Amino acid sequence: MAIAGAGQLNLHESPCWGSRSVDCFEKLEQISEGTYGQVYMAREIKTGEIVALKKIRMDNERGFPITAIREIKILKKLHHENVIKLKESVTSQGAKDEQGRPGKCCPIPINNLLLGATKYSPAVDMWSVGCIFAELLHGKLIFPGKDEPEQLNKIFELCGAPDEVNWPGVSKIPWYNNFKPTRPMKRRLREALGNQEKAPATATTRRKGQTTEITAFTASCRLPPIQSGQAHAQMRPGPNPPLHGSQPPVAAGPGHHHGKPRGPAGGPGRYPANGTNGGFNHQNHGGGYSSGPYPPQGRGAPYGSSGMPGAGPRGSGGSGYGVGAPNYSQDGPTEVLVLDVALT
Amino acid sequence: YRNLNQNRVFIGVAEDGLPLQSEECVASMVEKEHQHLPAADYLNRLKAGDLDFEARKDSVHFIGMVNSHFGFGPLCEYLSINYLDRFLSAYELPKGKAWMMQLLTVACLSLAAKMEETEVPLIVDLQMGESKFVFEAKTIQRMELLVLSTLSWRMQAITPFSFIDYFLYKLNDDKIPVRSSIL
Repeated sequence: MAIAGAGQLNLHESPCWGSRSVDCFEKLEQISEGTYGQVYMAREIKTGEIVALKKIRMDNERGFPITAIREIKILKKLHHENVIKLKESVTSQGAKDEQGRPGKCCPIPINNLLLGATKYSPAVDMWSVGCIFAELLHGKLIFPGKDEPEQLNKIFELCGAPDEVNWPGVSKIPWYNNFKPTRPMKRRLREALGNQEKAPATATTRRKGQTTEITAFTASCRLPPIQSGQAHAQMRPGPNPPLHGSQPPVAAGPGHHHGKPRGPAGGPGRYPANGTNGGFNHQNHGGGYSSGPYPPQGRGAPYGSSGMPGAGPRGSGGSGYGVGAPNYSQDGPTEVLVLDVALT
Repeated sequence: YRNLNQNRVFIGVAEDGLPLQSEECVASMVEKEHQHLPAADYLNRLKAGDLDFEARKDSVHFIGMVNSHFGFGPLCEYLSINYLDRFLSAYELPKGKAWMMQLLTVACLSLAAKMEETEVPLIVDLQMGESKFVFEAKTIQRMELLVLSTLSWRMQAITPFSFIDYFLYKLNDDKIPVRSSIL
């Protein structure tokens, strides 16, 4: 499929967007909880429709969370049967943080955030992409911990325990000493995920390399900028289904080394700042359209602004991942964001 | 040549491997564009003095300065001003409260940066230079929410940037232009 029609852009939205209160919904039960806030199953009182309510935790230092802004931005662009549809956002009038019972762990564990790092970065997103790929391949959660320590342990068991050798700087992360493993653990990602028989052989080979590489590198937050750029290129809808494309698999250099730095590492455990040689600047060819009174800045293309799939993650001709039925159909649950803040 | 297109949908593959928009999508963007513009009488209200033209000019200047300081991209600057104008045309700010305008400007900048930028500074740090008023993060956050709700959460505005690739394609006889031919 080469041409995506406008119908595939999620351009239609309810006229009441953002104007309603969370009181229009009745919470049924908490589904999950993460760094971002909680997710509940809820029923719209008027229509009886079942939705997922995601409560956004406000960050007093940074204002409205950038992660929520990006999530809304991306979800509003996407319109695909396998991608949850953002129905609307509602506000709650100054409600205090509600303590729900511990929910299932977030299916997208974020390694360095679990260790207490607070800086959200492209590396965090790349880790998530790796986890999602691995879960698609695996057909189920890859780190199904019931709480954060258990989840971290699952990550260490699969990806190997982080130490100063494979992740320089890790011991400086706030909670590393509280959670560091008591015994050495070897990386066994390839053994655990590399033997999937469910998928067609051609795809399996590609996937094997891809999953292993992505998770390997993001686990240690060392995915060099150029590779992450390719990762995004892979995610774009293209004439070739992403996983069978003519482009090389993500981060697949000769030798498939794991855990060794490639290219210009941006310093221990973090990405280089988006300065002149910015991280995601694979589309940056200098220049720019800035003709105003301010000189154009040599900066990377905005992360995520153009590389996001505008028309669903892949063409209809693709073979799909073959594992795990989609959780949500067109008529399935939609998501409602609840903003836990008073508007005055 | 920097890709600034926010609304790409597939028609073919440009040299940089990025897709171009289909006619259908461009038509849809034209249709939706009015949702992301200030009300039709906004310009007249500014000219007539019903809205404070000078205050708006100061805000635009401030946005440009902050944008330049942090090296934000042109789309971020455009969106900041777009949010500002749309908010001013839809919401009656109390008269004679200059600080409200400054607060609004910072909130618009912050939202635009969060939409488009990779590295976003702390919101309090957006208040630089000769700002007469400095606000706490919590105050800016509340303003951000007021802006979001006033603009009906339509932050991914269709802007002139959205059409650049399409026009380049049309100007080049329906062929994807070679990158080197574009300044």
